[in-house]
Amino acid sequence: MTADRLAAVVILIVAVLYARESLGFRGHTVADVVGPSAYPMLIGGLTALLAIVQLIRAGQEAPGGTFWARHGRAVLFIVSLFAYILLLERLGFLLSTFAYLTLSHRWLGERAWYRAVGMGLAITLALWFLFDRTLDLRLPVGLLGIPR
Amino acid sequence: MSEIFQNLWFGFGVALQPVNLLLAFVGAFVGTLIGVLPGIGPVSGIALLIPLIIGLHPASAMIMLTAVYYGTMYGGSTTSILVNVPGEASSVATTFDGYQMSLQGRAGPALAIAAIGSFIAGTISVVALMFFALPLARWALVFGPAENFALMVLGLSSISTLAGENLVKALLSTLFGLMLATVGTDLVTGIDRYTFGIPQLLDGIDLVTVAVGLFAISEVLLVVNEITAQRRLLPLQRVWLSLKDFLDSWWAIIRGTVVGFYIGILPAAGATIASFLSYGLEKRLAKDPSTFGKGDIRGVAAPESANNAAAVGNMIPMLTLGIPGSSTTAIMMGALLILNVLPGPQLFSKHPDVVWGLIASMYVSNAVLLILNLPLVGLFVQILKTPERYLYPLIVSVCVIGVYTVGRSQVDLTLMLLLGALGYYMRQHDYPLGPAILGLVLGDRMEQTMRQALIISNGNPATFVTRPISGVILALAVISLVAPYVISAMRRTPRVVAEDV
Repeated sequence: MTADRLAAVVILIVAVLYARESLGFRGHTVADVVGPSAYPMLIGGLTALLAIVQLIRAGQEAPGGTFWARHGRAVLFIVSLFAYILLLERLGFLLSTFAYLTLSHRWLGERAWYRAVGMGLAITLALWFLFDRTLDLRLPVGLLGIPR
Repeated sequence: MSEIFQNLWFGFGVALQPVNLLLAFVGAFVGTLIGVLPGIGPVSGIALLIPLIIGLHPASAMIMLTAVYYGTMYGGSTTSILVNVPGEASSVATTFDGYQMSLQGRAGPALAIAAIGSFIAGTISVVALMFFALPLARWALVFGPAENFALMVLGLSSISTLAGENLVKALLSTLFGLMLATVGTDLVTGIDRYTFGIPQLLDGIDLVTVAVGLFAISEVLLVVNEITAQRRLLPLQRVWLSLKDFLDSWWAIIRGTVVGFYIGILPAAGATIASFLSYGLEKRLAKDPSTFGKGDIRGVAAPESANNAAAVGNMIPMLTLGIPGSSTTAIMMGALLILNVLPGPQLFSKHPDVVWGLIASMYVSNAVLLILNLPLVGLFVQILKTPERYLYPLIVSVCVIGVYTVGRSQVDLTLMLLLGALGYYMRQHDYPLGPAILGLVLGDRMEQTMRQALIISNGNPATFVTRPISGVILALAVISLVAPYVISAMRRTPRVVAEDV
């Protein structure tokens, strides 16, 4: 199955689930003749219709290389970003960002550890001073607990 | 006539307040930076700045965002000319001759004409905007919910037609945006929809999260596969322009401005289309078209003037009708909505300081960028020399900070990541991203106007077609979806005949 066909099937399933979910929306006001479920039904229905069109019309394609060769780095990037997000509040901005940046520098091609660490530290501190101290956006404090 | 100048005088009063002038400078600088950096474009750049403008007065906020928008365009053309990497789609046409000029050692004149052409185009278009916007807004004042609903349908259908190669995929992208907009509490009945018990979703999915995830994170995922050696940078001389270069480009600038402005007003036909059209026009009008693509200065002047003029033209439907014409104006409209300012015909009477301050600040931004960028080009080139292995993780961190500070929740960040992965897929499979943003921004109001119109008509859906203005607009929407097929069918027929003969 081509990527477009597969996508069409996934979109069709999502659209049907989306429309079905809207059937459960109860509640109306006196004036509101339409109610909360009509519009989502319309959107879901149109989406399902277009997914079917795509399912019928989708042509073939020839992807080059294996999945890992084409998307390996992107997957690694998603995993590392997810870890960063999970640790952001727990470790705090400074520690999690420092770790994320340093490791990213390393696997994106920085051979020298001292430069990966040095740049990681410098950029983390620069971001923290700009956003937390200067712009007052209050980044997560976490383990370090540096007082404001 | 005198009313317009009075308003403009008032607008300059707003735009030239020291705070606003400072914001314009900061915005222009940050915008240029965003335009130069790979990975962050105008949409995600403006989205990331939304958390910073929340406390500001709406007029100040819009002045800053306009300056950012203008700045990204300058930054985008700088990288087009110097490294053949367009910062965004609207400066792709600039690479054709701009990079060639750099190779010939004429980067200086290329950068100068891009800046001066944009300045002239921006200034002329802002004057045109003032004359168009007010009558259009007055006319739109009589629009009821049915007409507004029809307008939004037209906006979404035309962006779907123009955004990508594949109409079905573009429409699916639009519908995805509309689906995202239904998440959260229904404003009429107060019930939750599609929140799946997650309290952070009650207020809906945040525009910043979607814009950053779909545009910035996906872009980084895409380029991270291709990080290799250092890009080659050509040595840069002084940014200057001879009188001959200027005179050679003069008519290209003027024609680019006119084309750009009119294309910009059309719903969904934005700066990118304008820049390509005006490049093509100059090439066709030239005595010797073969010089184009080989470093002809008109090939830089025309698209750069056109994309700036289109950016101004784009503001007209957004400000007067509340229908953004591009993903960038959609995100600016989203920012206005966050500040509790509803764009549309009433904007001119309710928030004259926002409208006229913004219009005046377009002049100011143009001047600021000219002052700021010609001497600072060297600095921005230095940024381009930063190795990508440092640049992309830094960009991701900035995205995380921006999205986190909106709602202070991991839910937003996780959504950003999921949308980033989805955007990565969409980019690789020709689903345009712009329609999704437009759908998300317009979705809420689209549903509200549809329901209001049906309440007025006692539930009779024929109201959308029988009300004359609404009917005509919906007919235009249908035409915009069908026309490309009809035109290509008509073109194909005679060609086949000719080949037979």
